[in-house]
Amino acid sequence: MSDIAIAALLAGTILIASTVSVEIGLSVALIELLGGFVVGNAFSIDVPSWLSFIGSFAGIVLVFLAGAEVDVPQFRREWRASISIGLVSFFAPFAVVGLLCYYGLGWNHRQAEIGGLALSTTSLAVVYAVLVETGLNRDLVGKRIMSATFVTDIGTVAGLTILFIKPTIWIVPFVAASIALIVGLPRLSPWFFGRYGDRVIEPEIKLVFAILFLLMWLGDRANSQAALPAFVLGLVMSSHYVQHRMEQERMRVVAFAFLTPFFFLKGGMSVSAHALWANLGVLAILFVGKMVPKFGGVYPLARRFTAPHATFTTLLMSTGLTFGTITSLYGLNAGIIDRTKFSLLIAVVILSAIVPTAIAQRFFQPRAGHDRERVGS
Amino acid sequence: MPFERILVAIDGSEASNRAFGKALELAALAKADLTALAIEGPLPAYAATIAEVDEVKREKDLFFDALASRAREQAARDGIELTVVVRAGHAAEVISSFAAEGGYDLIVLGHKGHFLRDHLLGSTADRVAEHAACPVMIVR
Amino acid sequence: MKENGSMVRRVLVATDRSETAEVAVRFAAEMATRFGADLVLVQVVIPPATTSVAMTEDLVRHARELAGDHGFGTVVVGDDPAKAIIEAAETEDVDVVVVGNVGMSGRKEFLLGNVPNRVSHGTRRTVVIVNTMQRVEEQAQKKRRFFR
Repeated sequence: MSDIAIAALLAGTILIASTVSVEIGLSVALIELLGGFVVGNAFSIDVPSWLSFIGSFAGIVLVFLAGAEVDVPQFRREWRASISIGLVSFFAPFAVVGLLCYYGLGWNHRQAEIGGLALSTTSLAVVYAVLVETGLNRDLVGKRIMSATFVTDIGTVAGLTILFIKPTIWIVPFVAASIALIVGLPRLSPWFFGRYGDRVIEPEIKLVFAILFLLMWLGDRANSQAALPAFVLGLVMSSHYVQHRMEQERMRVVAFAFLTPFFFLKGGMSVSAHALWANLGVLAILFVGKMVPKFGGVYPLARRFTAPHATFTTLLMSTGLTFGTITSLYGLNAGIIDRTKFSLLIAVVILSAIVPTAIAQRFFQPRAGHDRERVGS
Repeated sequence: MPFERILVAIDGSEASNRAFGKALELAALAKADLTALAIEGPLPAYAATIAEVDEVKREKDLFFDALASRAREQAARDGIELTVVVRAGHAAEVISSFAAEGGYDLIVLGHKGHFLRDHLLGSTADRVAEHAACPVMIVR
Repeated sequence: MKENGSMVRRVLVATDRSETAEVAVRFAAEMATRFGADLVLVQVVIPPATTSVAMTEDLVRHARELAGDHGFGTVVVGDDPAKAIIEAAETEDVDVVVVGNVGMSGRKEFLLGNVPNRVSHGTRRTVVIVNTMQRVEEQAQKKRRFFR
């Protein structure tokens, strides 16, 4: 198939995915992943290089957006109670899955690290949706869960940036540029956005994109990944976006209309149905490998910090989606893991988005007094 | 005693508008308290970004604010003081538990045909009827 | 549709004269009284059982007890109770059909659907389903508490 033919096919898939998402109430990302999986396997399409490129960029944009969506003032208030849950929620599955991959499944050192990272995540968005739905996001328990999720995410992006770095001279400009931008952008942005913002030609989005591309390039040269600086950059910009809702909205529009669909499609297309089918046992082992340490680590702490919703908290901390996909795709693109390992990791990531969430909502969702209620006069 | 507190489920659909009309008439005749309950359906499940959740939530809020004020206006024209409550969750479950908690005597709702889902799971009305403690009126 | 004063002019309720069915009947009677409507009791006889004059008289007497001059009773014969109730609603030209929900979760009725559901799906008239098994919700709550 020619590039144009593939592009047309994918554009159609993206369109259908968005309508299906609205109809059945599942997130568009999940449908795009599944759509990519179906299209990729049904037409046996390999991911073309242009898609791979857009996808990598979209991954960094997603990390930036995730950072920008963190409620920093709330985190400042709740971090003490949340940091232990968040750290354990990252390190326990990272260590257990990593060791499991290395010793149990015979993956090499770097592959095991990717495996551990991909399954260490907690999905901020999955957690957020559940909390908003129950109204718990306004309660202390909900705020603590959100803050803990954020800590876990920091662990994942930090691992992604630091673990695979190779000592070259390029580390210096990568680190220097990251720090300069993280310190400088919040200071520069009021002037820049004031002078050039609020226009259809969107200089402010272009500024963010240019910075992210710069970080991606420098990270690439340093044999690293720009996830950590992109996330922190999002964080330092979050208060700006809170004040300028329109800007945030336009950024989201650009990301959702064009970038993130390609990212998730690419993820789905790279999953091999055959590899999954042939390794169902390994799939189950990896899934258990994520769930057991999440439970063993988070539950005892949750009993202390988010009682009486300890089980609910633990289940939510066991979810994963976006960052797991980003980590797995990074491993695949960098040639660290092959398609089989990638397929297994993505499948476990998707399972972990669905299974713990569904169980939490069905059986452990706090009810009374937490409805998202607004009474008309 | 039936017909002192009536609960009507509204969602802006043709069927629910008919049910609402009927509930207004019943409430006027029986001089009953009338509460309209609107259910915000679930947010996108398993979202990948907070943005997606936020956008859907905002759209739903706008829709239900408009629905609530339309319902109140229509009730006011019939001289009925209407309470509107918006709650999130799965319709059948929320309607029946809300009715039980609020001690309602009757639930009025419209029947919205949805061929495939009705045959697999039963309609919302069927499921409310199955779980509600009080009588359920299904308006055609 | 013309609404002369009240939209509830004739209320039909299905009964097999059992204790549970009487819960629905009492609700229908109360509704008829409240809105000044006729009350029509319908009893479905499933062959090979047969109807008798005594059965009809008893049903009519019961209707009179509940609604005085506004009380009516009719016994119909049919293999399928849901269909018989829907047809009776047509011939009696009622505004509201009241049925109890006994057997709503019955396994046997999985394929055909249960009586109240099929009545509510099969008629164009307004249907009221009365929960005649008070314990249903309590049991559901107990189950939920167990899982929490």
